[in-house]
Amino acid sequence: MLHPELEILLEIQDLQTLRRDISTEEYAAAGIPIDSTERIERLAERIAEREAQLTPRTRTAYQRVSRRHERVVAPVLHGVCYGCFVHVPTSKGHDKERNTELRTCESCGRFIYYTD
Amino acid sequence: MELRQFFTEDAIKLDLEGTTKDEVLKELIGLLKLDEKSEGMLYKMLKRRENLGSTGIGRGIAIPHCRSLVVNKLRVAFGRKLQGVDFKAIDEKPVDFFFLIVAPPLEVSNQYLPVLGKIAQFSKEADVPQRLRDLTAPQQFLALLEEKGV
Repeated sequence: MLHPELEILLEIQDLQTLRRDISTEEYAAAGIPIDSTERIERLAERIAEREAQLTPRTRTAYQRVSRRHERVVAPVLHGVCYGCFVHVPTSKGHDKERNTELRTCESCGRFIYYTD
Repeated sequence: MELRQFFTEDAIKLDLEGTTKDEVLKELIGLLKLDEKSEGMLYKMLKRRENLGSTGIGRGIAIPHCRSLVVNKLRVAFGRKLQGVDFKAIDEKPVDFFFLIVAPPLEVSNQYLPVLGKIAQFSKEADVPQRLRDLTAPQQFLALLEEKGV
């Protein structure tokens, strides 16, 4: 099980990454077609829609983190937050079951997603 | 960096069962052997990318791709459907060969876009569609990548 707001945050982040990737020269050089700017705008709309689905408390935290960091959700791998590369306290556990709760890294403030 | 290093035999399927774009995407995701929730999230992201324009680049080849936190390193898979699938490809022809690429949002070695570019480059080689069509075992696919040196 995944915390519903963590799922929203993951989707927002993935959509933002997609938006960034498709605007790079490297992506254009690969020759993978992208349809009209209208569709890209729809991507931005979807991000806004998902942001609006966050609870006010989470949205405030999300906005605060996104002002400081490009990525608001960081993976935790082998007990390390891959946003700031600081160990997440062991009391917070390492396994994927921890994704049932919405947690933040005490060091960088990013939301964390356990990947191991 | 060579493409061969990213592919493993268990992520190659030469006889995809799906007959629609959605079925094929799900089958390709299945080759990565993720948990059910991760598979669902990945499917949604791949669909979002496809909605921006099909990744069917023509000549029977598609490269569905996305980034997602559900993987912690770059993952790839290859699937083939000799009867072809309507993938809304750029040349409007059915797609027979599918290269799936999935990467985490942040990679230390930054391989995602270079791998995407290399697969696109490999796909443009004149003999590649027929060579892919002639494969009879996953090992031959790996050998083809090695031979091409991409």
